[in-house]
Amino acid sequence: MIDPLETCINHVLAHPAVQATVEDRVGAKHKYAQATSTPPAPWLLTARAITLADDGNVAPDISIGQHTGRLDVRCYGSSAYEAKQAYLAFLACVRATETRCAVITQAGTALLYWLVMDTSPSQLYDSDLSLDFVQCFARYAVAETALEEVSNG
Amino acid sequence: MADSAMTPYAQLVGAVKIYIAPYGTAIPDIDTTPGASWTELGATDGDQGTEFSGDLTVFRDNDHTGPVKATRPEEDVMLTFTLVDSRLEKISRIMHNVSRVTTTTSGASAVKEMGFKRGATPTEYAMLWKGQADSPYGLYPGQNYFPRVVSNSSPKPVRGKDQRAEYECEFMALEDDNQGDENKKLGWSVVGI
Repeated sequence: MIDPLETCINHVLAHPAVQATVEDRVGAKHKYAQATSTPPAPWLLTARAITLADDGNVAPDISIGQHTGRLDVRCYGSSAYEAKQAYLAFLACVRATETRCAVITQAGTALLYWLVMDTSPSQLYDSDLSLDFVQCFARYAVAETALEEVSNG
Repeated sequence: MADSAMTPYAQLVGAVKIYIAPYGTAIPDIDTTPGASWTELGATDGDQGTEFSGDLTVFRDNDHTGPVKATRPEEDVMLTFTLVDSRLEKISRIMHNVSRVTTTTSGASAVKEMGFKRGATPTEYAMLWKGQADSPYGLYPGQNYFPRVVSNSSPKPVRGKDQRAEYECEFMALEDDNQGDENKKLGWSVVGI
Protein backbone atom coordinates (compact mmCIF):
# COMPACT_ATOMS: atom_id res chain seq x y z
CA MET A 1 0.00 0.00 0.00
CA ILE A 2 1.42 3.29 -1.11
CA ASP A 3 1.78 6.14 1.40
CA PRO A 4 0.38 9.19 -0.39
CA LEU A 5 2.14 11.68 1.86
CA GLU A 6 5.51 10.04 1.18
CA THR A 7 4.63 10.14 -2.51
CA CYS A 8 3.91 13.85 -2.42
CA ILE A 9 7.01 14.61 -0.36
CA ASN A 10 9.27 12.65 -2.70
CA HIS A 11 7.65 14.23 -5.73
CA VAL A 12 8.15 17.76 -4.40
CA LEU A 13 11.64 16.93 -3.20
CA ALA A 14 12.69 15.86 -6.70
CA HIS A 15 11.61 19.03 -8.45
CA PRO A 16 14.56 21.13 -9.65
CA ALA A 17 13.13 24.44 -8.39
CA VAL A 18 12.56 22.94 -4.95
CA GLN A 19 16.06 21.48 -4.87
CA ALA A 20 17.51 24.83 -5.87
CA THR A 21 15.53 26.67 -3.23
CA VAL A 22 15.32 24.41 -0.17
CA GLU A 23 17.68 21.56 -1.12
CA ASP A 24 16.59 18.41 0.77
CA ARG A 25 14.63 20.21 3.46
CA VAL A 26 11.21 18.83 2.55
CA GLY A 27 9.42 16.64 5.07
CA ALA A 28 6.29 15.84 7.00
CA LYS A 29 7.54 17.86 9.99
CA HIS A 30 10.11 20.57 10.28
CA LYS A 31 13.50 19.84 11.80
CA TYR A 32 14.31 23.32 13.03
CA ALA A 33 15.76 23.59 16.54
CA GLN A 34 15.84 19.82 17.05
CA ALA A 35 17.60 18.56 20.16
CA THR A 36 19.08 15.57 18.37
CA SER A 37 21.96 15.74 16.01
CA THR A 38 21.45 12.26 14.56
CA PRO A 39 21.00 12.24 10.79
CA PRO A 40 19.32 13.93 9.15
CA ALA A 41 20.85 17.00 10.70
CA PRO A 42 18.59 19.67 12.18
CA TRP A 43 17.68 22.48 9.85
CA LEU A 44 19.38 25.79 10.44
CA LEU A 45 17.05 28.66 11.21
CA THR A 46 18.58 30.53 8.30
CA ALA A 47 17.59 27.81 5.84
CA ARG A 48 14.39 27.62 3.80
CA ALA A 49 12.24 24.50 4.08
CA ILE A 50 8.87 23.03 3.08
CA THR A 51 6.67 20.77 5.17
CA LEU A 52 3.71 18.78 3.89
CA ALA A 53 1.12 17.26 6.22
CA ASP A 54 -2.22 15.61 5.60
CA ASP A 55 -5.04 17.97 6.45
CA GLY A 56 -8.12 15.85 5.71
CA ASN A 57 -11.26 17.61 4.48
CA VAL A 58 -11.37 15.72 1.20
CA ALA A 59 -13.98 13.06 0.46
CA PRO A 60 -12.24 9.71 0.21
CA ASP A 61 -12.49 7.66 -2.95
CA ILE A 62 -14.59 4.74 -1.72
CA SER A 63 -14.83 2.89 -5.03
CA ILE A 64 -11.43 2.83 -6.65
CA GLY A 65 -8.06 2.18 -5.08
CA GLN A 66 -7.02 5.77 -4.95
CA HIS A 67 -5.85 7.99 -2.13
CA THR A 68 -7.33 11.46 -2.17
CA GLY A 69 -6.23 14.10 0.27
CA ARG A 70 -5.46 17.67 1.13
CA LEU A 71 -2.04 18.89 2.14
CA ASP A 72 -1.23 21.58 4.68
CA VAL A 73 1.85 23.06 3.07
CA ARG A 74 4.15 25.32 5.05
CA CYS A 75 7.05 27.08 3.41
CA TYR A 76 9.56 28.42 5.93
CA GLY A 77 12.16 31.11 5.62
CA SER A 78 14.16 33.51 7.76
CA SER A 79 12.09 36.40 6.44
CA ALA A 80 8.82 36.91 4.65
CA TYR A 81 10.75 37.14 1.41
CA GLU A 82 12.68 33.92 2.06
CA ALA A 83 9.49 32.06 2.96
CA LYS A 84 7.86 33.28 -0.22
CA GLN A 85 10.80 31.95 -2.25
CA ALA A 86 10.17 28.49 -0.81
CA TYR A 87 6.46 28.86 -1.60
CA LEU A 88 7.20 29.87 -5.18
CA ALA A 89 9.39 26.79 -5.59
CA PHE A 90 6.53 24.60 -4.34
CA LEU A 91 4.15 26.37 -6.70
CA ALA A 92 6.52 25.72 -9.60
CA CYS A 93 6.47 22.03 -8.74
CA VAL A 94 2.67 21.98 -8.68
CA ARG A 95 2.48 23.83 -11.99
CA ALA A 96 4.88 21.36 -13.56
CA THR A 97 2.74 18.42 -12.45
CA GLU A 98 0.53 18.48 -15.52
CA THR A 99 0.17 14.76 -16.07
CA ARG A 100 0.36 11.53 -14.11
CA CYS A 101 3.84 10.72 -12.93
CA ALA A 102 5.64 7.87 -11.22
CA VAL A 103 7.29 8.49 -7.85
CA ILE A 104 9.64 6.11 -6.05
CA THR A 105 8.61 5.33 -2.46
CA GLN A 106 9.61 2.74 0.12
CA ALA A 107 6.51 0.67 -0.73
CA GLY A 108 7.21 0.68 -4.46
CA THR A 109 6.59 2.97 -7.38
CA ALA A 110 3.60 5.22 -6.76
CA LEU A 111 1.47 6.80 -9.45
CA LEU A 112 0.64 10.40 -8.61
CA TYR A 113 -2.51 11.31 -10.51
CA TRP A 114 -2.58 14.98 -9.65
CA LEU A 115 -1.23 17.58 -7.28
CA VAL A 116 -3.05 20.90 -7.51
CA MET A 117 -3.32 24.03 -5.42
CA ASP A 118 -6.42 24.32 -3.27
CA THR A 119 -5.94 27.79 -1.78
CA SER A 120 -3.99 30.96 -2.26
CA PRO A 121 -1.07 31.52 0.13
CA SER A 122 -1.23 33.03 3.62
CA GLN A 123 1.82 34.88 4.91
CA LEU A 124 2.23 33.94 8.59
CA TYR A 125 4.76 33.95 11.42
CA ASP A 126 5.71 31.07 13.71
CA SER A 127 6.51 32.71 17.04
CA ASP A 128 7.86 29.46 18.54
CA LEU A 129 10.48 29.16 15.82
CA SER A 130 10.76 32.88 15.15
CA LEU A 131 10.38 32.08 11.47
CA ASP A 132 8.19 33.42 8.72
CA PHE A 133 6.21 30.91 6.75
CA VAL A 134 3.74 30.80 3.93
CA GLN A 135 0.84 28.44 4.41
CA CYS A 136 -1.22 27.05 1.56
CA PHE A 137 -3.22 23.94 0.85
CA ALA A 138 -3.02 21.52 -2.03
CA ARG A 139 -5.02 18.50 -3.13
CA TYR A 140 -3.66 15.23 -4.42
CA ALA A 141 -4.72 11.84 -5.75
CA VAL A 142 -2.38 8.84 -5.62
CA ALA A 143 -2.96 5.21 -6.59
CA GLU A 144 -3.12 2.98 -3.51
CA THR A 145 -1.37 0.13 -5.29
CA ALA A 146 2.27 0.19 -6.31
CA LEU A 147 2.86 -0.13 -10.02
CA GLU A 148 4.92 -3.27 -9.46
CA GLU A 149 2.02 -5.04 -7.75
CA VAL A 150 -0.38 -5.35 -10.67
CA SER A 151 -0.25 -6.53 -14.24
CA ASN A 152 -0.30 -3.85 -16.87
CA GLY A 153 -2.17 -6.02 -19.37
CA MET B 1 -16.60 -3.24 -5.84
CA ALA B 2 -13.77 -2.19 -8.06
CA ASP B 3 -11.47 -4.68 -9.68
CA SER B 4 -8.80 -4.71 -7.00
CA ALA B 5 -6.19 -5.83 -9.52
CA MET B 6 -6.80 -2.92 -11.85
CA THR B 7 -3.59 -1.26 -12.85
CA PRO B 8 -3.25 2.30 -11.58
CA TYR B 9 -2.47 3.34 -15.13
CA ALA B 10 -6.01 2.49 -16.20
CA GLN B 11 -7.32 5.72 -14.71
CA LEU B 12 -6.75 8.63 -17.06
CA VAL B 13 -6.59 12.08 -15.53
CA GLY B 14 -5.33 15.50 -16.45
CA ALA B 15 -5.88 17.94 -19.24
CA VAL B 16 -4.61 17.23 -22.75
CA LYS B 17 -3.31 19.56 -25.40
CA ILE B 18 -5.81 20.38 -28.13
CA TYR B 19 -4.54 20.84 -31.67
CA ILE B 20 -6.43 21.89 -34.77
CA ALA B 21 -5.45 21.60 -38.43
CA PRO B 22 -7.03 21.98 -41.84
CA TYR B 23 -9.36 19.16 -42.81
CA GLY B 24 -7.37 16.45 -44.53
CA THR B 25 -4.39 16.66 -42.19
CA ALA B 26 -3.38 13.13 -41.26
CA ILE B 27 -2.98 11.92 -37.71
CA PRO B 28 0.62 12.45 -36.54
CA ASP B 29 2.71 9.65 -35.12
CA ILE B 30 2.10 9.28 -31.42
CA ASP B 31 5.75 9.72 -30.49
CA THR B 32 6.24 12.97 -32.36
CA THR B 33 5.21 16.53 -31.76
CA PRO B 34 2.40 17.44 -34.16
CA GLY B 35 3.85 19.12 -37.25
CA ALA B 36 3.48 22.61 -38.61
CA SER B 37 -0.03 21.96 -39.94
CA TRP B 38 -1.26 21.55 -36.41
CA THR B 39 -1.93 24.59 -34.21
CA GLU B 40 -2.24 24.19 -30.47
CA LEU B 41 -5.39 26.05 -29.51
CA GLY B 42 -3.88 27.14 -26.22
CA ALA B 43 -4.67 26.95 -22.56
CA THR B 44 -8.05 25.60 -21.59
CA ASP B 45 -9.93 26.02 -18.36
CA GLY B 46 -12.04 23.41 -16.62
CA ASP B 47 -13.02 20.09 -18.06
CA GLN B 48 -12.33 18.87 -21.55
CA GLY B 49 -15.26 16.70 -22.54
CA THR B 50 -15.95 14.14 -25.22
CA GLU B 51 -19.56 13.06 -25.62
CA PHE B 52 -20.60 10.02 -27.60
CA SER B 53 -24.35 10.22 -28.01
CA GLY B 54 -26.94 8.37 -30.03
CA ASP B 55 -30.18 7.03 -28.60
CA LEU B 56 -31.29 3.56 -29.52
CA THR B 57 -34.57 2.82 -31.20
CA VAL B 58 -35.93 -0.41 -29.76
CA PHE B 59 -38.36 -2.81 -31.36
CA ARG B 60 -40.84 -5.00 -29.53
CA ASP B 61 -43.18 -7.78 -30.53
CA ASN B 62 -46.20 -9.51 -29.04
CA ASP B 63 -44.21 -12.51 -27.84
CA HIS B 64 -41.93 -10.68 -25.41
CA THR B 65 -42.35 -8.08 -22.73
CA GLY B 66 -38.88 -6.70 -23.30
CA PRO B 67 -37.32 -5.22 -26.40
CA VAL B 68 -36.19 -7.74 -29.01
CA LYS B 69 -34.09 -5.59 -31.28
CA ALA B 70 -32.30 -2.26 -31.10
CA THR B 71 -30.79 0.00 -33.69
CA ARG B 72 -28.99 3.30 -33.50
CA PRO B 73 -30.45 5.53 -36.20
CA GLU B 74 -28.10 8.42 -35.52
CA GLU B 75 -25.06 9.22 -33.41
CA ASP B 76 -22.90 12.19 -32.55
CA VAL B 77 -19.43 12.84 -31.23
CA MET B 78 -19.13 16.20 -29.53
CA LEU B 79 -15.97 17.79 -28.14
CA THR B 80 -16.24 20.51 -25.52
CA PHE B 81 -13.69 22.66 -23.75
CA THR B 82 -13.18 26.26 -22.72
CA LEU B 83 -10.44 28.28 -24.32
CA VAL B 84 -8.84 31.11 -22.35
CA ASP B 85 -6.39 32.29 -24.99
CA SER B 86 -7.89 35.38 -26.62
CA ARG B 87 -5.39 35.76 -29.45
CA LEU B 88 -7.27 36.25 -32.68
CA GLU B 89 -5.41 33.38 -34.35
CA LYS B 90 -6.89 31.06 -31.72
CA ILE B 91 -10.46 32.26 -31.46
CA SER B 92 -10.78 32.69 -35.22
CA ARG B 93 -10.43 28.94 -35.52
CA ILE B 94 -13.43 28.40 -33.29
CA MET B 95 -15.40 31.25 -34.87
CA HIS B 96 -14.71 30.62 -38.55
CA ASN B 97 -11.24 30.59 -40.11
CA VAL B 98 -7.82 31.97 -39.32
CA SER B 99 -7.64 33.44 -42.83
CA ARG B 100 -10.02 36.12 -41.61
CA VAL B 101 -7.39 37.55 -39.28
CA THR B 102 -5.60 40.37 -41.05
CA THR B 103 -2.75 42.63 -40.05
CA THR B 104 -3.13 46.28 -40.94
CA THR B 105 -2.70 49.71 -39.40
CA SER B 106 -4.95 51.99 -37.41
CA GLY B 107 -3.48 55.46 -37.35
CA ALA B 108 0.17 54.96 -36.57
CA SER B 109 -0.42 51.66 -34.80
CA ALA B 110 -0.09 48.20 -36.21
CA VAL B 111 -3.24 46.20 -35.55
CA LYS B 112 -4.88 42.87 -36.23
CA GLU B 113 -8.49 42.62 -37.29
CA MET B 114 -11.04 39.83 -37.29
CA GLY B 115 -14.63 40.07 -38.40
CA PHE B 116 -17.32 38.54 -36.23
CA LYS B 117 -19.67 37.25 -38.91
CA ARG B 118 -19.30 33.52 -39.14
CA GLY B 119 -21.19 32.83 -42.34
CA ALA B 120 -23.38 29.98 -43.45
CA THR B 121 -20.80 27.27 -43.97
CA PRO B 122 -18.50 26.34 -41.11
CA THR B 123 -14.88 25.58 -41.86
CA GLU B 124 -13.96 21.93 -41.58
CA TYR B 125 -10.93 20.99 -39.52
CA ALA B 126 -9.09 18.01 -38.20
CA MET B 127 -8.65 17.93 -34.43
CA LEU B 128 -6.19 16.18 -32.15
CA TRP B 129 -6.31 15.77 -28.37
CA LYS B 130 -2.92 14.64 -27.14
CA GLY B 131 -1.53 13.87 -23.70
CA GLN B 132 2.01 12.88 -22.83
CA ALA B 133 0.81 10.38 -20.21
CA ASP B 134 -2.62 9.66 -21.60
CA SER B 135 -2.39 5.93 -22.13
CA PRO B 136 -4.26 3.51 -19.83
CA TYR B 137 -1.39 1.05 -20.27
CA GLY B 138 1.46 3.07 -18.82
CA LEU B 139 3.17 6.42 -18.80
CA TYR B 140 2.97 6.60 -22.56
CA PRO B 141 1.40 9.18 -24.85
CA GLY B 142 -2.18 8.93 -25.94
CA GLN B 143 -4.14 10.85 -28.51
CA ASN B 144 -7.62 11.09 -29.92
CA TYR B 145 -7.89 12.10 -33.57
CA PHE B 146 -11.01 13.46 -35.18
CA PRO B 147 -10.45 13.72 -38.95
CA ARG B 148 -13.34 16.05 -39.74
CA VAL B 149 -14.92 18.45 -37.28
CA VAL B 150 -16.81 21.72 -37.41
CA SER B 151 -17.22 24.29 -34.69
CA ASN B 152 -20.67 24.32 -33.16
CA SER B 153 -19.50 26.86 -30.59
CA SER B 154 -21.50 29.80 -29.37
CA PRO B 155 -18.85 31.52 -27.31
CA LYS B 156 -19.98 34.17 -24.88
CA PRO B 157 -16.79 35.74 -23.54
CA VAL B 158 -17.54 37.84 -20.50
CA ARG B 159 -15.01 40.21 -18.99
CA GLY B 160 -15.27 41.87 -15.63
CA LYS B 161 -13.10 43.50 -13.04
CA ASP B 162 -12.08 40.08 -11.74
CA GLN B 163 -13.17 37.89 -14.61
CA ARG B 164 -11.31 36.93 -17.75
CA ALA B 165 -12.78 36.30 -21.15
CA GLU B 166 -13.32 32.62 -21.84
CA TYR B 167 -14.53 30.93 -24.99
CA GLU B 168 -16.72 27.89 -24.58
CA CYS B 169 -16.01 25.64 -27.51
CA GLU B 170 -18.04 22.82 -28.94
CA PHE B 171 -16.86 20.91 -31.96
CA MET B 172 -18.96 18.31 -33.73
CA ALA B 173 -17.37 15.40 -35.55
CA LEU B 174 -18.58 14.76 -39.08
CA GLU B 175 -18.23 11.48 -40.89
CA ASP B 176 -15.08 11.49 -42.97
CA ASP B 177 -15.55 9.22 -45.94
CA ASN B 178 -11.87 9.57 -46.78
CA GLN B 179 -11.11 7.21 -43.90
CA GLY B 180 -11.04 3.71 -45.27
CA ASP B 181 -12.05 2.09 -42.01
CA GLU B 182 -15.76 2.55 -41.35
CA ASN B 183 -15.12 2.43 -37.62
CA LYS B 184 -12.82 5.43 -37.80
CA LYS B 185 -14.97 7.86 -39.75
CA LEU B 186 -15.87 9.87 -36.66
CA GLY B 187 -12.40 9.61 -35.14
CA TRP B 188 -10.35 7.19 -33.12
CA SER B 189 -8.07 6.77 -30.16
CA VAL B 190 -4.40 5.78 -30.23
CA VAL B 191 -2.54 4.97 -27.02
CA GLY B 192 0.96 3.75 -26.31
CA ILE B 193 1.54 0.28 -24.89
